[in-house]
Amino acid sequence: MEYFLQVGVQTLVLASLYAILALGYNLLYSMNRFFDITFAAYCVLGAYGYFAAHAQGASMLLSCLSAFLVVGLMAFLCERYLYAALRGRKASGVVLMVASLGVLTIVQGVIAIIFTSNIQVLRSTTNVFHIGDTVITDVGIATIVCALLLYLVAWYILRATKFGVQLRALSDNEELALATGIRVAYLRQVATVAAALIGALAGILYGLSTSIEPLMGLGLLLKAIIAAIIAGLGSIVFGFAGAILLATSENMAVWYIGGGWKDAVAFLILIIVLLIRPQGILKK
Amino acid sequence: MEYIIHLLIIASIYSSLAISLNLLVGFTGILSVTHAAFYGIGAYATAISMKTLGFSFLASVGFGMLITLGFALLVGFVLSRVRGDYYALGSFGFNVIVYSILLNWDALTKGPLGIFAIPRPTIAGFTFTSNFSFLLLTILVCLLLVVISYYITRSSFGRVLKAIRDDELILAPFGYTASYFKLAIFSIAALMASLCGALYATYISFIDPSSFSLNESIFILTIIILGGLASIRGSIIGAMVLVLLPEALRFVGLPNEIAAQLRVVLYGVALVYLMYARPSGLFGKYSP
Amino acid sequence: MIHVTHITKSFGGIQAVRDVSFLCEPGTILGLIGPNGSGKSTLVNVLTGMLPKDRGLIRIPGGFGRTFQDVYVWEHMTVLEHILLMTQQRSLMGSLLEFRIDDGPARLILQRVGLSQYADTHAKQLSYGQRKLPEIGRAIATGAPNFFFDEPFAGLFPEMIERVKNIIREEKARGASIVLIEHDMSVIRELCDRIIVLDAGVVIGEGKVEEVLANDRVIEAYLGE
Repeated sequence: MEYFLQVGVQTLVLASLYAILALGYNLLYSMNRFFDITFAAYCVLGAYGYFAAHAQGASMLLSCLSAFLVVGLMAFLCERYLYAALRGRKASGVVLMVASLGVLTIVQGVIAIIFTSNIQVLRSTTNVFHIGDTVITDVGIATIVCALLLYLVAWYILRATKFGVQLRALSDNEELALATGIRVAYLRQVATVAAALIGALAGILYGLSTSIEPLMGLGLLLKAIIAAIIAGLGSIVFGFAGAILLATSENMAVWYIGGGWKDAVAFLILIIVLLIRPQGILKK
Repeated sequence: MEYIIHLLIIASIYSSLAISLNLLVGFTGILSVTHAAFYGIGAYATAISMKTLGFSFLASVGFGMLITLGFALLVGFVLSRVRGDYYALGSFGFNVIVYSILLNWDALTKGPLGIFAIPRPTIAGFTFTSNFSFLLLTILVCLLLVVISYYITRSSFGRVLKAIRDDELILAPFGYTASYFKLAIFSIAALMASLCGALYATYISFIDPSSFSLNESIFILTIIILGGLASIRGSIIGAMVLVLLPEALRFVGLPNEIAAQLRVVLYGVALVYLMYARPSGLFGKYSP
Repeated sequence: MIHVTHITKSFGGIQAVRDVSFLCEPGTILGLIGPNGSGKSTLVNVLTGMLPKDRGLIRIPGGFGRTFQDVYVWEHMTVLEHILLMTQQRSLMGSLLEFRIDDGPARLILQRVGLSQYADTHAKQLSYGQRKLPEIGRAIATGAPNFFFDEPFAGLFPEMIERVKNIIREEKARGASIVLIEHDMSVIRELCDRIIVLDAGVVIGEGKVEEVLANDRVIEAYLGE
């Protein structure tokens, strides 16, 4: 029984991480409608931004803020100068995707040059809490709390603020949004930065709970995409459900057939969903 | 000199891989990011049948191709049912699944330990022990693939592939079943990759799953995007550049590690620049 | 011959085509007319296998060639290649074994359509009006005894229009069954032997051109739009 509780807690933490990733990714996708690989760059840059700041002696909070600053700036520059330019040239989704792959490649390479490709850790101590016989780390709690908060805030912004309404309009029909006077370029920039910061946060949380290496971004991105697709791509709030489904399936797979098959199981689920219900299990 | 021969062998193998992937991506417009999986299946099947089953090289290659064909038909079929935009993602999935199999099915593949002491090929009594002779073999294979690609792209079959790339829905009312053609070229490309895997395994004599991960598929894709889509010449030149350039960087005096990463950064810059200025790639004949 | 009975097609709750039946004999041009949104293109898409039907029987022995209302050409292929795709082997094995193809028949078609000098031009370089020609060439190159032309004259220059009319007449003379969707009544009167009128997915008139056009119900349907 305790074992189940333990697995349950771990799954909740994993689901929360995936949920945060899915939120950021869905935000990007709902606006831009292409497989934006830059999101992976935001995750890894966030983790290393924290690493660099922390190594200089900054506190956790300051390190996070430094990371956010770097990632936010990068996201803004990419959107404003690269993707907007490509869109102006009527670039297809494939071209945008390959360009974003290029960006990730550059970021990974630069990080590897500065910090080496070795696996590193963001901190050396972990605080652990006990609830009965179940164990949960401080990062675990933080991840769950962040996920819940982010989703609440996202839900509120989307429903109750002008920004959120405009965002939904943009995601529904870009031409119409432009025609009704919505400042699409500005909206895109703000939302891209927001999504990037969410990715950075996910990268930091992942790094704190596990480790960091220059190639970590792609794996996180893929999980984000799978969680998002399971629930319904572009549907920002449903991402959490997709994340829970994904995390549960992965942990069940680990329990029944062993840890090495985790990724294979995740993708198998993706392929099944793509075959049976590509619009997502929850989307109408 | 020996080192240059080694580089040329690797470059030839990647040229062959690039040519095969270009048939799929550049020529037919199928964005498949799972090529490393077929490369890996070919490598492992050849290695296992030569070492454990004692097959000769040619028999092993044939055996490997048979297994690859089975996988290709399955994967090709499943992917064909996936909605267009998600094809690439679905193909990623297969790469990851195959990689996981290679990594976890210890009994068959020895998992992360890999398979060593894979013998050099022996064809008609001649064993390709010297690297130079192996280089000739890989060049021969590359030439073979060039000829096959040339034939395919100039044949009536190739014409259908081009139409699929532009608009496959319009082929249906004219009596064509596009899905058969797509499955056919997918399988052909996979078989070619499998052959490359056999060459790689018997050259390096040691293989492990890490050579056949998603990153490898992305690398091969990068070669053809840079070298040029739908261009045989572009595939070869792209492979040459991406394999030989890092070596050139080493001569500049940078430490190994940094040189390797610098090349990665350069690829990234090249990708971004090309997407902006020339999405078809250096020698490409098709713009996505 | 094109023989269809009780064709019905719905999208969600909307019946785009309801219980449509007609017979187009060999050597006949049947005009398919009706106000905008009456289901003409949907009907043709169903008959040509691009949309699945809900109900009904379709018999088009010998196959067919068709053009589209919105021009659908293969952008990166040359005009000649468009025609070659129709004259080449269409089976998987057949096409794999065919390396050198005799392009004589294809060039003849290009001549008929007036595109000979554009044989090696890529479709994306053609102007809108010019793009209709490879479409028409492609359709007749199938060599099929049945055709569906969906507004083939829209966007064409006057000389091209005459040329296309002649092509349609030539195919009719060869015994083809031709369904022609058209808005221009003068063209309908000029080319068609019979017409069938669709309104809101239902046939509201069928028969000889002048009789049908004089029908009150048909006039009302058109005036109403």
